[in-house]
Amino acid sequence: MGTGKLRLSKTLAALALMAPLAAAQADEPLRPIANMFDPLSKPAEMIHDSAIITLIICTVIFLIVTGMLVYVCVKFRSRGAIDERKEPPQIYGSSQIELAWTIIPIIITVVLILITTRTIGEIQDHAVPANAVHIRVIGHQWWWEIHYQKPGAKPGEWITDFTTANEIHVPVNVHTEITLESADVLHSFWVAQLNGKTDLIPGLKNHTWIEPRTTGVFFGNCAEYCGTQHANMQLKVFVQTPGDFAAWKIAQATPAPAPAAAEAIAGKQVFFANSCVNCHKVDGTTAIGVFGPDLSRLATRMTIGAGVAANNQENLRAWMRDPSHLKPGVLMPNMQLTETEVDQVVAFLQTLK
Amino acid sequence: MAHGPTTASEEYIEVAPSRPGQEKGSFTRIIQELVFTVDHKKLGLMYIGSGLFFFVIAGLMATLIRIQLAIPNNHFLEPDVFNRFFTMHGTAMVFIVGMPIIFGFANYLVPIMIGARDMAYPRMNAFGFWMFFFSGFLLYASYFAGPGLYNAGSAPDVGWFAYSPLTSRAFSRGHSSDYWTLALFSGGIGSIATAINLIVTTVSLRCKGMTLGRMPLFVWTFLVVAFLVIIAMPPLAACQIMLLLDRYLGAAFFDTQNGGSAILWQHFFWIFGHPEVYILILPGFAIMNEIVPVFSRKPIFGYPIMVAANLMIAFISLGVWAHHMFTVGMSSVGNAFFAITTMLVAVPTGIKIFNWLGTMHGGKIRMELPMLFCIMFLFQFLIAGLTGIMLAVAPFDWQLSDSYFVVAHFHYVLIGGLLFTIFAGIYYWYPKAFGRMLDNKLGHLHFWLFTIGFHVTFFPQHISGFLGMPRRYYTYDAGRGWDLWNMISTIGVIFQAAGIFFFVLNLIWSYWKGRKAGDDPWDAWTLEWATTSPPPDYNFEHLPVVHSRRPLWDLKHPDDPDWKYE
Amino acid sequence: MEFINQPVPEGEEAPWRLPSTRKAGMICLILTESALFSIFVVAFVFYMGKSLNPPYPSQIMEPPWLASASLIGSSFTIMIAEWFLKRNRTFGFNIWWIITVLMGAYFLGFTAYEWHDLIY
Repeated sequence: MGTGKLRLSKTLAALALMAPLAAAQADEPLRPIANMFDPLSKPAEMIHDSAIITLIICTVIFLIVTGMLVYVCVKFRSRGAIDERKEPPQIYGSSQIELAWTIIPIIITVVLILITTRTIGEIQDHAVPANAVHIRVIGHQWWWEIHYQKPGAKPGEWITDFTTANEIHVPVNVHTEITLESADVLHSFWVAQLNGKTDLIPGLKNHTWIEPRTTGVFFGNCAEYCGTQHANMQLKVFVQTPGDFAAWKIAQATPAPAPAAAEAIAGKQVFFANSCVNCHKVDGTTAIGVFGPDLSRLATRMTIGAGVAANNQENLRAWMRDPSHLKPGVLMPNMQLTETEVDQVVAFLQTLK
Repeated sequence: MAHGPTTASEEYIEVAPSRPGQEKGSFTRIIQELVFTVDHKKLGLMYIGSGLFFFVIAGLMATLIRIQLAIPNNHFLEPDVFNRFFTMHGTAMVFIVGMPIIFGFANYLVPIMIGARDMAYPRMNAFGFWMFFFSGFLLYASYFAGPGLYNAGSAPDVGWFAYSPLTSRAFSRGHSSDYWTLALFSGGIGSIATAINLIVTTVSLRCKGMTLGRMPLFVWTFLVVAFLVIIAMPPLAACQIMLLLDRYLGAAFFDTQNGGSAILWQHFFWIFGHPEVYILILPGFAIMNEIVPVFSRKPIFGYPIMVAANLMIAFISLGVWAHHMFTVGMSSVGNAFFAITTMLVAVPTGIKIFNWLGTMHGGKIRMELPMLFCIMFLFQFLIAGLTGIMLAVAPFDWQLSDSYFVVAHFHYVLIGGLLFTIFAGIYYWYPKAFGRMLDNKLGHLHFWLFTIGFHVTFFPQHISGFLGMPRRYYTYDAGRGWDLWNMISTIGVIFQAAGIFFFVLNLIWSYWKGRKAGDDPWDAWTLEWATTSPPPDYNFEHLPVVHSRRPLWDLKHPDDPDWKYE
Repeated sequence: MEFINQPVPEGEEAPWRLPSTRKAGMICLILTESALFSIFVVAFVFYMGKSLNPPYPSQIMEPPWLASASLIGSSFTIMIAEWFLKRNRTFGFNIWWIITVLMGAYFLGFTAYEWHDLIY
């Protein structure tokens, strides 16, 4: 198989990523530019406020000192040979001036310290309200496992309602409390418009929270180097209206109906005859693997491979032929399916909605 | 005492070239001299030369990285190849480019500046150099030997700070991480040996009259650097030992799957890693402290407070390591503490910048090449310092950390700060080391191309960081707002590479064709300019006696010596 | 350039003394070693008593009092030996030196025994 040809197809698939996405998910506006100066969630806004003050202070210092530098360089530059004969007056220092430029930085530093410590406290020690949505995000090499808390669980107790992967849905204007864990190496959860980053650390539970102001699909990334495909460990946060979110939740928690079309039924058989079920989970079936992403509602997702390609028939086929062509280094092996089997499995996967 | 201890062998060479291939100046003779030498000047030049060699290799890697990132979804490099490149680029630039070049300057200049004939332990000095030199090759050998019997791996691809558990055997198969570990470990032994040597030389071998209060600030700064090295490098060695125990003897210090702690590695690494940053930037200050006064024709402004600022920076730098870890989920108190200590660094650093400006103020600034690099240093280091303050604001850091903003920040520190002063230092002391001036035209080409290229490459990375681009990404999708900035960034590399080309050309061309320099081409004031260019093996015919911070000023102005005012 | 015939400030004729290179070097080496071992000690304290599954160290190990005593004690005996050596009293030096070697050997042997016992 010529790699060049497949490379090209991958490039085309990736280039075509944005357009079909916009068509498929018309509900919420896409927000692919993760601009930290355009915050749309409570903690990100608090960070933004302190960032702006810091930027202003730093810009003022920059302008003053650069001005001094330019002034000194222009005013006191040597003017040719006549000037060089005599040395300028030798000044060894001045206690008053030095004291002044020791005290001024100290004052600026104190101001910055006050801003910093206040914002740290406001964000980190923020109380979790009673109506908060609780989710657990578990980092894997190179995808995100997402658990939703069953309603009515006691505080501190965790009962998973359903799991999904790589795409988080949250309601708008509601505090979402996110517990961060890792199954293997370090990762970092970063959706710049919603909050700053927090690392996912094996053996520890970290916490972060968001409270989005507007609906939209926010693009996030893994921000701590985690191995080969660190770049393709993308994350999307769908901020929905409370109604949409409730509907989505109910849909996710119920298993997808069994396939009806002949090709999809054949695909299901191929799926269960191979070792797919060892790693993947499909609700309502005997597939209960946990090493790979939950596929129960795969067809409702926007992308596959943690954002490496749009979730459509063509890309699913390319993935089933050999995952590592779309995502080199991915831990899913090539299942060596025939072309017919590929089509059948893809038909089955597309019924999972 | 007209002759130093090495004079005898020198005469022997002159009188009896003996066997064929042993004539002075022949290739084998030169190699033999380099291998057997314990002369601090030769070792210093070897440090700088091999540092520049590794610099070119690591720079080529950076060029390939930038080509890969020029356009979205590029397939120029495989992800694993890319990951190895950024790991090797970072590791090489810190450990086998930055460290040896600064040690090279220290080795060459500290003994001459304090009026000594050599370092305190010349053979240990050679040992330090060879440890570093072979650790560099050990690191690069991973490309060939890393796969080991498993046929996995190749060069290390764990990032230059090698966060656990990515380095555990489950995630780093083959021997790539072992090469990283052992190369840094052995190089670290060499650095520690050199640092001890520098401290002892400075403390015990100063010439008559060279009190601590009269030492050139260059020497003072390197004394502080050497202390930081002996305090910060051993923790790195301890980390490497524990990592090897983890990988091969079943210990579980950092192996999270066996109850180890990933955070512990980060703490230990940055206890080394942050002082390391100051180990790399303080020598930049040291070079500034020498060049700015000479080209402004004035003594350094506020010598005592400059010394105090050095000590303060070194002291504070030992207590700021966790500002690399604001995102790991420390308590709010921990985050606040490390944010505060980090911001305190701004105070002594600010003092230094203002004192350099104070030195230039009222002078007659000669805009020669060393001074041009120093002025650009002031501008760029100002930017680096201010972005550093932004990173110290912990909440802002939650956004900025591990983004391209950080990449831009530390390249402004290490290139805009350190490398520019290294260039300044090379233009300043090359005449001393080789007796010939570096060519002015080639030098200006180098300066302008490199300065423009540097800003074009690294300034846009601040913006791609603001737009949420994380570092260490081998590829990115179009439509995230990163395309333009990455393209500009890659274009800048062309200018930088051209600048470096003219620099290397200049080094080689001027060695044979450069204008003769004479002993004191810059009309400078420290002791290295009192001896010949290049200096003899024994440095000074008569050991100097000094009475002030600027011994040569006293000689040149006997009617108005410095010691009257100090 | 000559430094001999320059005007000299008054009161500069005091003898010029600097610390010995040996002392300075040894102090630096000790600093280095302390920095190295402080990291090991922190790691040890961090993991002290932590074990994923039994048996826990406190159940199977006893504090090696005698070995520790001989390790720490040997620092003092070597000092005494050195004291004798400086005064050219070789007999006293030999005695204390041999005691030091024996204590060191005991410590090393006990450590080897411990490792052997724990791993195999």
